[in-house]
Amino acid sequence: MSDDFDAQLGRLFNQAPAFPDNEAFAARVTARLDRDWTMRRIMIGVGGLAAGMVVAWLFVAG
Amino acid sequence: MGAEKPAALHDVELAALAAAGDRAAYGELVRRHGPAVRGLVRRMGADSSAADDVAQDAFILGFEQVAEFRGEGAFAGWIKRIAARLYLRRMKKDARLFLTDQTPDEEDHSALDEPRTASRMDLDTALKALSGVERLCVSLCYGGDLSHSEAAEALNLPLGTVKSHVKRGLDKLRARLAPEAGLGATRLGHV
Repeated sequence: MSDDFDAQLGRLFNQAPAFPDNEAFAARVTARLDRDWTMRRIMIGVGGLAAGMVVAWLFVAG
Repeated sequence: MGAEKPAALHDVELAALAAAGDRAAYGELVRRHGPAVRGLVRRMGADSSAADDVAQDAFILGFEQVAEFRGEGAFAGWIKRIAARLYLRRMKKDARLFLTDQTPDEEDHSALDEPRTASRMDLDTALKALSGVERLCVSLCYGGDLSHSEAAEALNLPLGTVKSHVKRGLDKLRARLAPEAGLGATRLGHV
């Protein structure tokens, strides 16, 4: 009986409750991913630009 | 495979695409498993708003780590483990992780007594009969796919203590979900 109970309980836990706003939740997560991705690209771009300017300055100054 | 819509793909395929940076593929995983993750964190004791925050953070972290998911287990289990650990971390940070045998508050008790006579009892209601730490231990082991050892490590508790909490929690759940003749499918209304 204990094993049955364990198995049944595991199945109960695996049954996800229904969320009517599931689509909105997924949209919020993907929007945040998109935002983070954009920020990361901007940071990489800014970093690359700064590094390039430093190299150029060293080249000109040296 | 590239032409297939995300909804038609298996979790492992979606995770592989996500690992390559495909956010739309990951969005499908969020759509599929969002309810499971949000449900788990709520069952661990979070209110709906906190549960959604943790679930959202878990999916964001999951995207960053999705290359580590190799499909040995289910994606749902993998992401739920991340969410469970995040929730525990958040509780510790907020100093709300009281690992004592606190009993549920009065409101919860009154809510629990009623369903004993109802024809159908659901897990979420039954979980309210457990103390905070029992609920965490049971949810981590049965909902978060953590072993007793992993739960003990996550909660920073001795293994024996976690096993005791799980056992006591299960006894309470059994008493509420199947008080007379064990856990019957009709009682649970889901099989």
